[in-house]
Amino acid sequence: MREPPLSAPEIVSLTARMAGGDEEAYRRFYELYFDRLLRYLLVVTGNEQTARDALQPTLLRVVRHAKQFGSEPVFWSWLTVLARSSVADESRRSSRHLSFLGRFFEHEQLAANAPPNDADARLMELLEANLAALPAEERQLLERKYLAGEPVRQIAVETLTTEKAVESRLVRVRRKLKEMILAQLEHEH
Amino acid sequence: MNTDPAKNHLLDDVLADAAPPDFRADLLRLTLEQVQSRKHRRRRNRGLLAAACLLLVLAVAARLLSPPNARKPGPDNPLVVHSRPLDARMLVTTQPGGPGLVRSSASAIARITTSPTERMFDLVADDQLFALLGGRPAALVWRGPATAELVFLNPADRDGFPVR
Repeated sequence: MREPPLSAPEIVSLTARMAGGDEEAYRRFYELYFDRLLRYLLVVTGNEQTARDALQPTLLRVVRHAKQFGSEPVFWSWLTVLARSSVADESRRSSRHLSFLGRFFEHEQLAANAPPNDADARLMELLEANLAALPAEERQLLERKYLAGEPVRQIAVETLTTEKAVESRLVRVRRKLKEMILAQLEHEH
Repeated sequence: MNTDPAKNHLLDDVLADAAPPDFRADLLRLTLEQVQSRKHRRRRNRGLLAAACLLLVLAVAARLLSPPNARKPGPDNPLVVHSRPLDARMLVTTQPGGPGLVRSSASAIARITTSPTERMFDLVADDQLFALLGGRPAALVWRGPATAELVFLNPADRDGFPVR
């Protein structure tokens, strides 16, 4: 489950420790921001592989430029800047054959298309839209598991199947939903 | 926007495949290696900086504590000696054949010669010698067959006396 955003004193302490090279602080940072940064990069790039490729340089930039921040929104904003810079660099690296002008416009476009900090909000919109677009049986399975909070065992009993079969179906439906979301994101780019 | 925690949970699970566990672990390991590397580099740089500062302080202290006469003159205040050629009037020169030669003439020298045949002195006997002393006490001491010494008994006579 997601943790609530850190308070200002907590973010001051965390970022100060990161700036000082505290490994435990970086582990905590990972717990808090790894998934969030990856989701943000998915929205920015619209491509799962590109997002993963850009995540590593983003984290290395965090290490290289770590400094103390006074509030969580400012810290997150800084992280998104690093993420977008990494995407631009990755894009530049993968398209060296393009002319300088092409790279320039690509960079400009990336900057212009930079999503707002609430990339999670965009993902949530896509999730809701695509959840509604799923076949009724698949949508109901997800709703029972996640929205109604029914245990897998109960779903299995009511659908006259095994827990393992329910888990397998959940994996398939989640993967399908992810592909739908990513396809839509890719289409937006 | 629906911020329902249940939907957030669903979204997390849907996107969980985007970051497989090994990818997540590898990235964490790389990041921590980078953190350690930067920490070591920073520590080394601090050490170098401290050493440089210490050397600087020691150099300044050594310069301040050294006696003034031990200090070498700075290159901005060198001792410069200028020279110039002497005036020609101050030079002493020689010229070959300048002074005239002095020649001597044999006719200008007076030559004095002695004649071995001419007797310039007389031989006196012992009695004649004592007679010349005018009665002053003296003795003639013979030191060999041909050598004698006249000895004045009165020491005052040794420096001389009037002769009549």
